[in-house]
Amino acid sequence: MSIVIATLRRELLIAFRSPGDMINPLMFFVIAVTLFPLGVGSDKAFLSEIASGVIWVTALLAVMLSMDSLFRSDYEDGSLEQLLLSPQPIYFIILAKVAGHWLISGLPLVILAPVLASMLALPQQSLLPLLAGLMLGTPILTLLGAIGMALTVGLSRSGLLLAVLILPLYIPVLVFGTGLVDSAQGGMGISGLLALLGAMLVLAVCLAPLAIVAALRISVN
Amino acid sequence: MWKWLYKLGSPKWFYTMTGQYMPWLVGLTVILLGVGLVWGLAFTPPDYQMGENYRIAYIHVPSASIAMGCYYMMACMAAAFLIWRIKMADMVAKACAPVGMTFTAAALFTGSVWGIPTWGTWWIWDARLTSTLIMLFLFIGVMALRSAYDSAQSGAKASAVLTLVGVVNVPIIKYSVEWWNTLHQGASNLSLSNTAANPPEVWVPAFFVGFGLLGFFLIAIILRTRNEILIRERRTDWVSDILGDARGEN
Amino acid sequence: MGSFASFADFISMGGYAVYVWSAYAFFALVLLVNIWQPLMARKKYFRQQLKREQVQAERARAQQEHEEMRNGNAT
Repeated sequence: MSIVIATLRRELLIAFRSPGDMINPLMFFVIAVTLFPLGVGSDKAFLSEIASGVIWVTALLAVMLSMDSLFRSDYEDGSLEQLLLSPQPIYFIILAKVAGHWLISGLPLVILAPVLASMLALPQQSLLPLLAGLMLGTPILTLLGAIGMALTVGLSRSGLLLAVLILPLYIPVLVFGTGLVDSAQGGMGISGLLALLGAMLVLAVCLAPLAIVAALRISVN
Repeated sequence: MWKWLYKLGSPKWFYTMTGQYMPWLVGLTVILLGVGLVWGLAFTPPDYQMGENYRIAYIHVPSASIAMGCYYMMACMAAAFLIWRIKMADMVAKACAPVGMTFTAAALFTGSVWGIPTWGTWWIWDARLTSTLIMLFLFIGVMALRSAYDSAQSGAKASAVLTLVGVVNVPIIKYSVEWWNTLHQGASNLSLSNTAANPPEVWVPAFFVGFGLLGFFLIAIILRTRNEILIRERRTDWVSDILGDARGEN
Repeated sequence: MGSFASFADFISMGGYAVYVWSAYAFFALVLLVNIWQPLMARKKYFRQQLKREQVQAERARAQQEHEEMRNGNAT
């Protein structure tokens, strides 16, 4: 267990020492959301209609763009190879690394989302479903993104390739995340969808680290 | 059983066996496809609702199911390659990606063209059309990842991992898209592949085309796999012998 | 023929000719590409391999000649 805490602490420490990696995805999130009213007009009724979709899509892209800092520097300075060779349980180390990454990239998005939601005139009763969905959904996005990042970290130019690999896999999260908001607006219950997202999160936590480890072993060789 | 599996894993055995059975497979495929397509195009009665337009179904439905099956086959091959390190499995998986992609494209194109008179537009966000489009993206992703690697070995393993990640996601994606579709549009009654209500003279030709297309799919996979075998085994004696025969022909 | 009164009827597909025939044309194209591409790749492979063998044989012959010449000079 101590190795998990140590990994987590290391991730957070690195993030706080180079805050650019942490702030840039957030800035992307804010700026990209700001572009939408400028593009489609500031009509409040229309904005509130598309608000959940805009926030979800930009959050999804922000998580994807933040993935680069997860393995890149560890790959370049060789500590990733050390990690894979270490006798410690690699599954939990990777899980801790991804959890640390979510804490510095996913969680700030969730915290910032209410501000952007009110800027886009999202109805009050939809805010909680939006946040609950983001809370459960962004860790899934981070885990899936980590698989894609692990597959492409050894390649010199991987940014757009990562998008091609990962965005199709993000679709269910997007569908259920925005569906949650729509159901709430339509007065339907949301507990079923929340349970569905939760189940997806459990599945991702169980399976994704296996794929990440397999992919990292390929990339390191 | 195990001996047979072991043999199937041998490139030389695969190459010679497929070489022997290829003429039979080609013959059977030509007959099935020929009979099915001519029958479906010219001899089945027109649909009372969609008129002659429904004849697109004879190529649309089999293309879509073969494309889907191709992804699952690719996933099985990826698993076999990752778990048992069977190189033959990777060669077949490599062949599956472009073939599956073109079949997915065929399913999409025929579906869209069918939609123009039926729905009044070439694209609607129908659950089937949308999930087929996503499957096209998955095929493209697998191919892009493999070709991004300089080392063939790493590219093979990486695309196998991605294929397996994808296959876990395919049912979830399908389910989510169907759910999304019902949420936003209400269930559409214009189901494209509902053959259950039709009389036998309508769906029997579809079976001919389906099995013919399956044969064609196998031929396409086998041709590509044979090429891959020749490339990877080019330093072996038996490939040199084949080259020797080719030299004699020229 | 079949369910159509005439060949012209068959071609016009009850007014759906554009849709039916373009779908079938695309389908035929997909089939064609899937056969043609591997066959061409195979042809190219054989051409390359035979060429490589030729180059190797020529190189070996040149080497041999070179050595013979050197041996001749030595004696």
